[in-house]
Amino acid sequence: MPVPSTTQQTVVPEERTERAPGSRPDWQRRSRRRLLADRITVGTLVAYVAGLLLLLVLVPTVAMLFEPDGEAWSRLAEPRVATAAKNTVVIGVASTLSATVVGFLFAYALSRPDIRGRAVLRVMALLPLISPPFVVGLAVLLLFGRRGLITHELLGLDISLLGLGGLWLVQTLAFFPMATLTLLPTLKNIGSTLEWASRDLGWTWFQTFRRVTLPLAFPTILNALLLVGMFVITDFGNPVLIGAGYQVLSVEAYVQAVGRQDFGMAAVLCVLLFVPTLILFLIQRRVLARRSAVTVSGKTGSLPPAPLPAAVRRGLLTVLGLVSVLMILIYGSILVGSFTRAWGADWSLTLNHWQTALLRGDDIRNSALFSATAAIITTISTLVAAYVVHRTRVFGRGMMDGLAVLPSAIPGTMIGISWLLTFNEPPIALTGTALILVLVMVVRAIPVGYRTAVTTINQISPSIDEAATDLGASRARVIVQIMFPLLGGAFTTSLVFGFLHAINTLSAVIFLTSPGIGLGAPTIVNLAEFGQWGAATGVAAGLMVVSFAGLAVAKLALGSRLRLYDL
Amino acid sequence: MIELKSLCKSFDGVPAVRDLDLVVGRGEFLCLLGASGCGKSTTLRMIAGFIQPDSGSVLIDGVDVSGYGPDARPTSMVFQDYAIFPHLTVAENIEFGLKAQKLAKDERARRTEEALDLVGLTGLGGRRPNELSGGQQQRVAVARSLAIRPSVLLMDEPLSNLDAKTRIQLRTQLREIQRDTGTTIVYVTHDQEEALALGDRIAVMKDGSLEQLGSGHEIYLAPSNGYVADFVGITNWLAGEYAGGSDESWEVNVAGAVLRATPASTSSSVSPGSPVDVSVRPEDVSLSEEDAPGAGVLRGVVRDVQFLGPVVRTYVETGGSVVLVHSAQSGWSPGANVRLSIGEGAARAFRRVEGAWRPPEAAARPVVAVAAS
Repeated sequence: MPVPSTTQQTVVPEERTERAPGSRPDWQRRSRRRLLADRITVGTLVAYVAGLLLLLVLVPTVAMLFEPDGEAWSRLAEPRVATAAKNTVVIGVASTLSATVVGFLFAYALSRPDIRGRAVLRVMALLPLISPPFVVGLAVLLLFGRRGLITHELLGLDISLLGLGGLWLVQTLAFFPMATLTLLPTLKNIGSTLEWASRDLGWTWFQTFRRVTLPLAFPTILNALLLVGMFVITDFGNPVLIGAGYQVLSVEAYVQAVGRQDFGMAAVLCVLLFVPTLILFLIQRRVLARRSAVTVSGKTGSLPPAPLPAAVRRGLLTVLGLVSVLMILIYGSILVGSFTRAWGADWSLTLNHWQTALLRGDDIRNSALFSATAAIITTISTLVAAYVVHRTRVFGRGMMDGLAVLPSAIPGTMIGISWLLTFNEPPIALTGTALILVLVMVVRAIPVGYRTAVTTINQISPSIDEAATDLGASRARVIVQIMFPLLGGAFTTSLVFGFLHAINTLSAVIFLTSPGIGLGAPTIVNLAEFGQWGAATGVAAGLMVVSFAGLAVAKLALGSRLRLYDL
Repeated sequence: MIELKSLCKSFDGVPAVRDLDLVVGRGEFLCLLGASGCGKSTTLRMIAGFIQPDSGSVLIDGVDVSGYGPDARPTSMVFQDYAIFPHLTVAENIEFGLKAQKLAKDERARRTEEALDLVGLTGLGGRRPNELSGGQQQRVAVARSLAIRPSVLLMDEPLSNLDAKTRIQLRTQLREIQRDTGTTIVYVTHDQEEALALGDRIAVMKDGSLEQLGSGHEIYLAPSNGYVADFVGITNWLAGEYAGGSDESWEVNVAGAVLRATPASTSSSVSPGSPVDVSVRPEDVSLSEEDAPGAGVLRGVVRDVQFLGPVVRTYVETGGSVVLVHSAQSGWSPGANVRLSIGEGAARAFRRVEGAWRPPEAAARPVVAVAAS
């Protein structure tokens, strides 16, 4: 029988023909030109990113550290400071814990398909994320203040929730979505299989929750606590509105800087606030780094999550329902307040406040315009920064990475005061210009934009740009023709994020607005401080309309491609 | 012992399990075999108590457990993705279920040791799950389930995330463990080889119903319908017509030539001319030179020869279709003219029924016989 042949011939590649010495092969010359061009491309990008971060982040921060003299530092011992520090710690711990607990309950409910009404809960958790956090404070002022709708009108009480209690409530409601946002992916990822395995091995729902769900979520809970903590202790808008006599560091610094023009003291207070924030921030980065090492196995597959016991489901829905009612009251009171002639005295309807808001339309228009500009600058800069840090090997990448995320650890009050000190006189005198407002918004939005950009750029496999380079594309061409198109989705998402961050920021910009150039957020606080609640709610409602409109336009244009908050 | 009585389950109106009756004996290793979506996993989850049936009941050791949650049932599940608790050590994972049974500490320690020995992980109790390979993690899962001494061990494709070698190794170990402990096992798989290797009996499922229940031998050698013949193992389909014969042996006209085939069902409703599909396993076909004496009735041309190690696979084109032939060795080269003969009693005939499962069209094209050409 015929046997198939198995011998194989080895193919020897032909030798390249040698060129005459002296005339370099074409590809070598081209390669050298390419190398030079690539260096120029990368060099330009690095110079831009490094310059931006040094000027906007490092310089003001360092400059402020040198502002106070010995006398100012010695005033740290004053009882005023001690009280403010103690108050900051007390409200910080209380609000952080309660906001994280409420945030956890929301996240837990949202991760369970057998909880009905998740769409409503999602909206409740979304509202504080896309509106200024101090709107909650303003609303509580209207509802539970001295002439508040609930405390005074309905209950006939002469007390108010202002001070510690009110602030606790307000910060819990304003910041729980941060915890929800952090916890939800983990709770979804823990995986139904592990919970089923525990049930299958004989444990009840509660024991499974205690022995499996909670321990697995623990690193993320810690992360949420740290994150919420940073937001709470640096919060400025809510304590200034309803803190009443309860002074915290951020407000005290504002009083010193704006009220008494004592910048040395203000700087000292900022540093006092910056230290714990920075520590929380550094611990949080640690937690994030460690968490990525522990992968949660037991991914869901097709197994649906274990249903909750009816009693647990009812309990959860009751608590979250109450929170939701409160949220509806809060956002509703802003809307109603903007149509009420004189809150607490004359409940007749009026369009006056909207007229005032329109008269103050300049502030709202500035807010929208500057925020949009800041969003564009932030998005482009952070994408370039992410590219430089993660796709090149230049010196100082670690430094740039740190500077890009650092602003999230700097209290807004400190950014405001440090900018006021740094950019007030030559060499860089920007005070009183629109530019300084746009740039300070950029700084506030940089960390979030940078994280979005890094996540996206890391999702693009390095082999894609390697393939392009291998096929002969220059750096510039790789960036323009490969990176930009692939980053398209992140670009728009980052743009919307940046816009919302910029338009809702208060603590940094309140120091930098000038009579000619106002912004919506500081105007609301100023009006409320003078008891002009109608006008304040009018501007607040106007500002929210603008941000919701921005969001709606982006949503219409992008549809499901716009992935803002994964709730 | 498990009894499933007319079990039904639908998801969003789509039936997943239809009126299933099944009895698993004590100490039996039963494999639920079927393609994805056939309802095998749903059945397993109803036994475990993860989902409740729409109607019908599950009896374990004679007790109706319908309505009870998984924590109250004497079953234990081994998952496809292991479901090892990542925050606990190996020993703590195994102790997890023992704690739920409120056993004393020394009894827990003893049982944990025992379970680790049983799966061959002695001394690894202090390890973290992420320090273990996939095969080791799955053995921890088996140990964890066995430690609580369940009446029934349920396994949901436990080996399908492992590489081929580990899979075969663990398969053998699983058989040993089952023999040693006498545990009743219900094992879900879509891999027919795995089912044949493991199951005392195999239940082949399709569209939520039982197609055939029997030993591996029965399923492979005497499939009760065309679907089972096609799903379990590899087979060649020849389309033909019933020509006559007894209840034990039919004569089937395959494009002019007459083949003898064993009918899967009695021929009460079959009449000459009725369409019939004949299934022939590749190892039951042999090839010979075209003019050899006593050669088979079918003539063909060799198209390709693939050497697979223990077996040589020869693709023979006969008329319009290609027949697979498995043999220990093959000296054929592409282009050779051959004749195909089918082993005695190896062909199985299935009467074609309107609306029932049919072999894929391409595989069942008529084969041109020698007599016809």
